[in-house]
Amino acid sequence: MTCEYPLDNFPCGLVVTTVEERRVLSANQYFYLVSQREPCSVERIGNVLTPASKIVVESFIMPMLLHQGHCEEIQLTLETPQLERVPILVNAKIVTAGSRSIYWVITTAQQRDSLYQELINLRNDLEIRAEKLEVLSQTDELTGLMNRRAFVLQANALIKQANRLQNAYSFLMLDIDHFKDINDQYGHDIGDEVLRKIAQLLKNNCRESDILARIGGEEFAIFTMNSGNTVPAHFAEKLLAVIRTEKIHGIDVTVSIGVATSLTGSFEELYKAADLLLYDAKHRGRDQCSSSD
Amino acid sequence: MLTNEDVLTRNNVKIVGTGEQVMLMAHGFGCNQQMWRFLIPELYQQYKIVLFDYVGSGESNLAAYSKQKYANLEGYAQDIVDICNTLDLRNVILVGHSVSSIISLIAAQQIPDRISSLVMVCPSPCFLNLPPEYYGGFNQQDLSELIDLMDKNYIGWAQYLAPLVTGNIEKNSITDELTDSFCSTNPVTAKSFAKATFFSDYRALLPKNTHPVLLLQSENDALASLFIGQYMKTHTPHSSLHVIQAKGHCLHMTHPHEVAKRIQTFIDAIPLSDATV
Repeated sequence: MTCEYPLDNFPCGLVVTTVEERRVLSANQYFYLVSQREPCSVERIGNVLTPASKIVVESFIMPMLLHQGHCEEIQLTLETPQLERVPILVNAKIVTAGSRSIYWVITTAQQRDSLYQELINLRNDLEIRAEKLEVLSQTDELTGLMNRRAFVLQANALIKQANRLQNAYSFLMLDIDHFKDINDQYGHDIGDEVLRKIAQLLKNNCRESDILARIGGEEFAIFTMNSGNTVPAHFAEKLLAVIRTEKIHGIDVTVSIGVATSLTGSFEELYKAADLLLYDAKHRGRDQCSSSD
Repeated sequence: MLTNEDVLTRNNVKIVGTGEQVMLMAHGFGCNQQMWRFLIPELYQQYKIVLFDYVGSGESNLAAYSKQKYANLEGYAQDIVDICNTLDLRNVILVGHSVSSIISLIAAQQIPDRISSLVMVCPSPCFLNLPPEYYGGFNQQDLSELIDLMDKNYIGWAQYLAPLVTGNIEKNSITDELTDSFCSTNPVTAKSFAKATFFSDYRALLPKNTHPVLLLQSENDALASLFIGQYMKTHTPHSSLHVIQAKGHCLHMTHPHEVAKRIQTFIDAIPLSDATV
């Protein structure tokens, strides 16, 4: 190993190593200065790197060097004997003339590192906010169910899937009977309580694959894929019974349900059909379902 | 509901070689199927070599990426299972580099009838130090630093903030332009792969192995020490360990001839009846 490197005055580390093991064959003064080692005291370039940097060397730098002969602008971390960490930027290339060697250029990257850290923090912060906003934009604040917007999006996606598999699907539209009277008689707080309780009851009785949403004031919707042994009208009857038997704040609450089933219908068609069937159920005396089956 | 073509494009499956017996090569963390290019000339006459990129790596279809599925190695193993099922591969020799050794092992346990044997190049079942009985080489802190370092490296690589803006990696056209780069350039998928690789512990899987296994190790590997090779050998039934006189973690790139020779000797030594256990 020669220590009288002609390029000692360069303000960047210049190192020549073997390909295997990256044994240091030659290095300029700056390399030792930055890694805070005695000149000629570093046997392998890996000896001055943190364990994480070694993984980057083995998983990215070496395969890249072997594949394309060079790699640029890889950030690594030097570890000084005092366990201080110095961010560095590395360019390297394999020179095959004579014995195969790797030529490394190392520059310090403290400022770039702090800037990047700031960017990372900013990105993480934005990510969290974006996630929160996404949840907010899809959720009905009062009941915690999906809102109408999210419901339409998800139902449309499921309809496409069902059409491809030639499965039938149903749209259940539920409306709380005489909800205006509940609000008028007991106040809006109790009205809200009723909405929350109904949402909970529906949630407990839906399958995980069903989509359930509050789509209007006292209106709920369920989109469900029909499987062999479930009849949508029976499902609706079950929901009617569950709600009928539950007293909410001492109030007997009932709902009416319209159930539209189709093999090919679009979301809009199904929506319209369910709405008409719901109207029919109301018209026939409420606390019942009207089904297209 | 994936069609055959879906899987083949999804995983950028390529088939080369003029032989009969199938050899499926699974690349490790960080790169793509091109890392096998030095080994292929050594083996293509004897084998039909199936190459692929995991979803999220190389030229795979990023639209098929799911953060949840690829958050652990089982998700990656499913890619191998899908490819074997789609192409109806039988009597397959699975060759995996580094973490793909374990991914192959998971896959082999799911479709044991399709797999004949496993070749593991520089494998490790767990990169964490779990003293006193196991030393994977790294502490939790080192591996957290790795994720940080990957973050820092990706900033310079164009599409760092784009997934955030589009909210969706598949809608990112810049990602597609960069997919011909050799190493992973997608920050989301690469970091998930790193976490799945370096924070996991699959030691419990080793004793369940039922196939003949060849473990190839180098004398000095920063990611898989000789201790790990011995550990794998001791805990994996039907395995043999061979330490190649070389250094580094990419033996198949640096010493393809030696690796091919070892694989051939291993395959030749497997009695036919064993290969289909």
